[in-house]
Amino acid sequence: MKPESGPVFSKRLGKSHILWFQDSNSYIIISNTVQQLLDCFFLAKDKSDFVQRATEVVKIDESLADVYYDELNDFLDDISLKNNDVHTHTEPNIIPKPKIERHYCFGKCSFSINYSSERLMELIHPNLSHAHSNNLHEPKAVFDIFESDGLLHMFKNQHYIGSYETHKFHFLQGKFAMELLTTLYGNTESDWLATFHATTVSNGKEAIMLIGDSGNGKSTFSALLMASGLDLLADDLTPMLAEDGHLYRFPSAISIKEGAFDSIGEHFEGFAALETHQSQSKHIKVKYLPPTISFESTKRDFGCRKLVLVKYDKDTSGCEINPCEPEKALQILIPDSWISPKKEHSQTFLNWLGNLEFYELHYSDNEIAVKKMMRLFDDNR
Amino acid sequence: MNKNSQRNQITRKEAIKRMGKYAALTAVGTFLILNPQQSQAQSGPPDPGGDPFN
Repeated sequence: MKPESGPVFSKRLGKSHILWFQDSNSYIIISNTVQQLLDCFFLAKDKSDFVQRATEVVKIDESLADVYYDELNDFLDDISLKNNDVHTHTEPNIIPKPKIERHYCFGKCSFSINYSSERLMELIHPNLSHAHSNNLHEPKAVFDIFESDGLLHMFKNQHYIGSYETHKFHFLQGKFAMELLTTLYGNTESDWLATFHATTVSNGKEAIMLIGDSGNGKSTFSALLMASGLDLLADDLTPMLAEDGHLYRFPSAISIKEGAFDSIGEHFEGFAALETHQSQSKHIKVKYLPPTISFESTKRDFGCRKLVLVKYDKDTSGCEINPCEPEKALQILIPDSWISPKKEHSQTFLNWLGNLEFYELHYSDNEIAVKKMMRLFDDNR
Repeated sequence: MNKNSQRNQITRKEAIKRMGKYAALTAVGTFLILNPQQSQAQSGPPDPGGDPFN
């Protein structure tokens, strides 16, 4: 029944199954029993056939099978609804004359951004200030970012990219990051499979992705990993290319919150001299620490086979790194990330998940946690 | 069984329905619906008082 509303792809993931539904671009993680019930649902001719099949396969009584049928029916209706939650705004007629022009240079790739105000510049510039350049040779892109009629607008090379309500400025920042990626790598948005809300470190051979709830010290920890000699491939936003499923370098600075200034300052010369900014999203002071490895001088992509769910807990004694259930990590990773809704991209994503090892790191001592992470690179099963 | 307790009794099916959407499927084991962001965003959404433009 309802074969048209079924999942397009499914993959075994530890003790569970992950399914992808195209219409809503949703990922569903279900237990083996729910998978069996779903199989019965698609094989059944009607409700009574389902009840008969389900009572045999899953060993449940008829009244419960009846409830499962109704819920699966509702679920498949809901999951086949397309997401049309994206609001579109009208393109502004003119691009105003810029008040501030800034040039940036990552190796051979240079671009400039025209900002209409200081506060708009604060949304983008601090993360890129380490690439600020006074000269601009053959820019690959010119961005115009300005505010009018209560909206923030972005153009790239005079082409309209989008408009965002002021309180949703993090979408402007995210879209700008995507446009910056396509500028740096000379490709288009459709070449990218995902931009994960994750930090990624590499030892020069492979990458490990770190995820965690917001505000639990992920950025501080990634700065410490960088201080220990690991290559910080990307902080906060990790891009994955569809073609090879590799994670790519994104040369944005790491935002370090005031509470970590002392502990990070010990490891990086010149940290104290970095400009202090007021965070745009939270009322705290931050400094932006640039990556130690420059964008142009090193390998830019690595395969990733390990994902670590990081949790700083000052009350934890010691430091534990243990395998964890995939669903525990994925319920943080997926809703926080942009994942391309294209069918072929989803299949690559699921294949990647199928080969991924999932870990959980609970720590209170930074130094021990860094050592455990280093060891994880060498631990190849 | 007195009349009062009979009135308070509900069937298992009814109890599950009252627990909310997909309650029975959720009770079986893992049942997670995860929707990725529809557009790229940087970090989490700002806090309610965090709009620097207003």
